[in-house]
Formats: sequence, C-alpha cells, structure tokens
Amino acid sequence: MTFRMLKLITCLMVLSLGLPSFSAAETVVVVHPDNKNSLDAVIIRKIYLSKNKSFPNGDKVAIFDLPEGNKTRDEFRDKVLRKSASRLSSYWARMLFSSKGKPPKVLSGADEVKDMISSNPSAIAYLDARDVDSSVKVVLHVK
Amino acid sequence: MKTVFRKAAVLAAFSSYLLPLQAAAANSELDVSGFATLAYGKTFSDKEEGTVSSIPQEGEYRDFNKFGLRLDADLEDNLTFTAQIVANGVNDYEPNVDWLFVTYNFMPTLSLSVGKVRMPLYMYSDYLDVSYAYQWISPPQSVYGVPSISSTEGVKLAWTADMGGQWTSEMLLWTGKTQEFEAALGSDLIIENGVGFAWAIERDWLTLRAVYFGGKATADTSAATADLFDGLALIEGNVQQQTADPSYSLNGVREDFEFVEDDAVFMGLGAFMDFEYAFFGAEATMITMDKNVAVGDLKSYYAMAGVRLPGDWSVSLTYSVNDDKANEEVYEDFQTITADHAAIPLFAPDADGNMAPYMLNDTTQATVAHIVQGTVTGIEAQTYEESQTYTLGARWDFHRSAAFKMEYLHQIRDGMNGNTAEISTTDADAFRVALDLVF
Repeated sequence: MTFRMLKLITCLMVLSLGLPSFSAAETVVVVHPDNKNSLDAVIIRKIYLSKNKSFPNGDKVAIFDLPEGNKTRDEFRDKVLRKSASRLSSYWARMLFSSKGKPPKVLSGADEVKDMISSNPSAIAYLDARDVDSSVKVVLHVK
Repeated sequence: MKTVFRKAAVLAAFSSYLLPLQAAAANSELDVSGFATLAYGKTFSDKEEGTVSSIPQEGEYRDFNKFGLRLDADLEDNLTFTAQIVANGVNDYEPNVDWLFVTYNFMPTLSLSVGKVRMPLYMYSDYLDVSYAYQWISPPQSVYGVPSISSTEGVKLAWTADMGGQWTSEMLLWTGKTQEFEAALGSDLIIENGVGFAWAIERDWLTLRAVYFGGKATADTSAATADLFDGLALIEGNVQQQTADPSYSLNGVREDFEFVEDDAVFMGLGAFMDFEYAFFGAEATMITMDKNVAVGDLKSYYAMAGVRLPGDWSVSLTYSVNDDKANEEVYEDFQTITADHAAIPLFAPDADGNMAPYMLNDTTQATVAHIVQGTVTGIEAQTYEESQTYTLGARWDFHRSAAFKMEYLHQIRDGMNGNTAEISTTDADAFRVALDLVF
C-alpha cells in the first residue's frame, strides 16, 4: 500500500468520524430508560409499520409520531420506514381498515415525546438528537 | 385518518344513567374512521348489451359511489370492538353492516375475533371497499367478481409472527356461516360449515399469500330449473312406462341442478412486489364445485405492473383473464341421459297384445329432445366465459387523504349463445374516474 493511499484512507476515516458533528440535525429513536431490548433499524421499521406489535422480549409496544410537516418525522419516514408520504398513507389505510394496526399517535412535539417515553415503558418514538435528555434512552442513530 | 375521542367525554354528553358505565370505561378509546369513493364510468361497445366491469353504456354516476364508517372501540384488557357500515350507491345508499366483531388479544401476536368478519379470500378483501388503499378504482372484476360474497358470521383467529430479518408471517383461520347476495347467481349464496385458511409472508418489498376456503354451498336456483325438472319428470315417466321399470330415475341429474349443500372449494395465490419507483402484483383464483350446473370450473388471474412518477402520480397496466368452463362431470351426465334415452328399447303392447316398437308421440319427443339439448347448451353457455381485460390506470395522490384516479379498460370477451352454442367475440372499452377519500 502506497503512502498516498494510506493518507487518503486516513483522511476519509477522519472525515467519516467527524461527519455526525457536521450534520445539522440527527434523528434518534428513543425508548423508556428501563427498556432493555436491543433494537436495530430492521426491527424498528417492523414495529413502526405495526408488523411487529411487541418488542423482541414480547412486551407490548406503543408507537408515536411527531406532527405532520416536522423535519425529524420526514427524516425518520425516509430513512427508517423508506416510504413516501403518499405510500405510507395508503399503507395505513390498508392496515387500519383490515384491523391489522393503527398509525402512530401524533404528539405535539419533542417535549410531549419525552413526557410520553419517560412515563410509558411500552412507548417508542424518535427525536432530533439535540432534544435528547436523560429521561429517554437512545436505541438507534438514524443514518 | 382517524379521529380519537376520549370515550368519557362522549359519554358525558349522555344522560346520567350512563354514569356508572363512564366510570368503567373512563380510559377506553373510540376511534372513528371512514372512507368514500365518488366515481363515474361509461362503457363504449358496438353491441347493445356489452358492459366492462359492470360499467353501463349509458354512463353511471351513482352505482360506484360508496361511503363507509368504521368504529373501533378499545375496551381495554385486550378487548376491542369493531363495526363498519357501508352505503353503496348501487344499493340506493342503504347502509349495510359489513363488519361487526369483538376481538380478544391473547397476546400482541394472537387474537380471536367473533362476529361478522371479512373472509380474506383475496389479497385486497380486508379493505375491498376502501379504494384509496389500492391502485385501481376497483380490483379486476375477473378475479374479484366471483365470488362476490365477502363476510362470514363466525370466528377468525389471527396469528402474526416475526420470522427474523425483514420477514413477518400472518396466518388466519376462520370458520362460520355465510349468507350474502352472490352477483354471479343472482340470488343469495349460503355457505355452511365454511372453513378457511390464509397465510401471508412478507418482507419490506414482497408479500406472498395463499388461501384455501371450503364449505357446503346452497343457493336458490328453483326459478331457473323449474322447466327442466318438469322435463326430467316427463322423460322418467315415459321411460318407466315403456320399460315397465318404475325404478328408472334421473335423480342423479336432478342433483346436479339442485344447488343444495354442494361441496365448494376456493383457492387463491397472490404476490405483490413494492419498490420505490415500481410495483408489481398478481393474483390467481380457482373455484371448483362438486357437480353443479350453475357453477362450473372457474379460473381467473391478473398481473399488474406500475411505476411511481414524480408529483405523487403513479401509472399501472393490468392484464386480467377469466376462464370459466362448464363442469365436465355435469356435462357427461347429460350426454348419458341423451344416450340412455336413445338406447332404451321402447316396446309396448300393440292392439293384439304383442310387443311392438313404440314411438313417443311427436310432441313429447320434441319436448324431450328440446329440453335435453337446450339444457346441455344452456349449461355450457351459462358457465362459459373467456375474457381478457387490459386496464390502464393512473392515480394522483393530490392530498394527504385523497386520491384521484382514471382508468381505461379494454375487454375482449368470448361468450356462448345458449341456443346455438356459437361462440362470439365482443370487444368493449370503458372509461372511469374516481375520487377516493379516507379519514
């Protein structure tokens, strides 16, 4: 390996390590601090599309959304649910009218999300990383 | 899409005798949701009676309109109640209770529903009325048209499972009795001892599904069979008299025509692939019945491909086929009677008391021949249908809870004339537009 390549790789590593601090807003998925489930993007997607109605340990799950038009909500939808707003809307119509699941309850904003998460052990929601405090536990950094 | 009321608040509006209930139900929730479709359709055909997907030639403003209201009450402690009422333009907007059931959740993944539940015969059965939930204005009629019955009074067990990775599985097992108007028969279809099983596995971009449903089917077809049964009695009487064999009976044939507790089986397979910019779907169904004239061997399928375009538009092309034939066994039975009737030596005592060849009188013979031949071609014609339909459709999600759709349908249909058994091909085109809402 040439010195030049090493230098390039080092640069890239530094860059990639530094990336989170450059990004303006990062979305994180949060649960109750006592929730011990290990959750990855695949499981969170299934939970948020009501395909899985429980956490991996079998506990019931309650899903929440930020209001429509919220940037964190859009980012979560694009990167975790990977569906456009209209596809997601059709999806929930199918789930709701076939009694398979209900869309997430909409909360007013980050404060209400934190209140809900810290008081409800079944709750799962997402937040802008800057709104996170010790009342919630981060289980996924959305990339 | 849904409106949540605190039930306590709703109950508080009622008079005070409900107060004890209010205390019990203070934390339960009532969700109200609904849907509507407002549509127009018109068929263009050279033939006077041709229609495509039941769309009339004079244009129809009312028949495809529908409105539904759904109530979901979470009664807590794992018990929920669901009711769905739908008013269809085609039924003069008379409200009909499509769903009415109580569900008990043993665990988040296992539930039992009791009441009037939807039979998941097709991929879109559960939300068949909610046109907003799928690409078309209505699913291909060649597949979804028969059977048109959709619900059953009984119990339904639902089990969902995480299969690891992206995969999930859903199994449905249901049993009950169904009595609903069946469009293809023009009368009520009753299915007793119905047992069905549906299994769907899915991952993010793929859904695969299989379904089996069987039961004892009964329908009132007496108006259609009255003349035939008279004819059969005439044949029997003649043969019994001439052969002096009172045991000669055509009951086997009668049973073919009696639509009473006949074994009926419905099977279906479906697949859907959903990608960011494209989607593909296909479904195939087969109905077989134990020697029944009114229902032959019915096969149908469709395949659909679509693309998502910028600006929340999507365009799709669907090819659907209906291939219905008379039941072979019934047809064979009829060939047997015709042969029987020709082969039986018709001898009768003449004026001198000697046995001599006997001729049916001309009128009787003509009647018998007419009835038998007419019935044989009638059976074929009634159950015979081969049609191919191309549907080019566009959907525009112009609003968060509303979609505008346009469809152009082209159908090539082979029909059989009941008198001449001639097969003729008809081409017809239809156009329809719809506005779908959910709330």
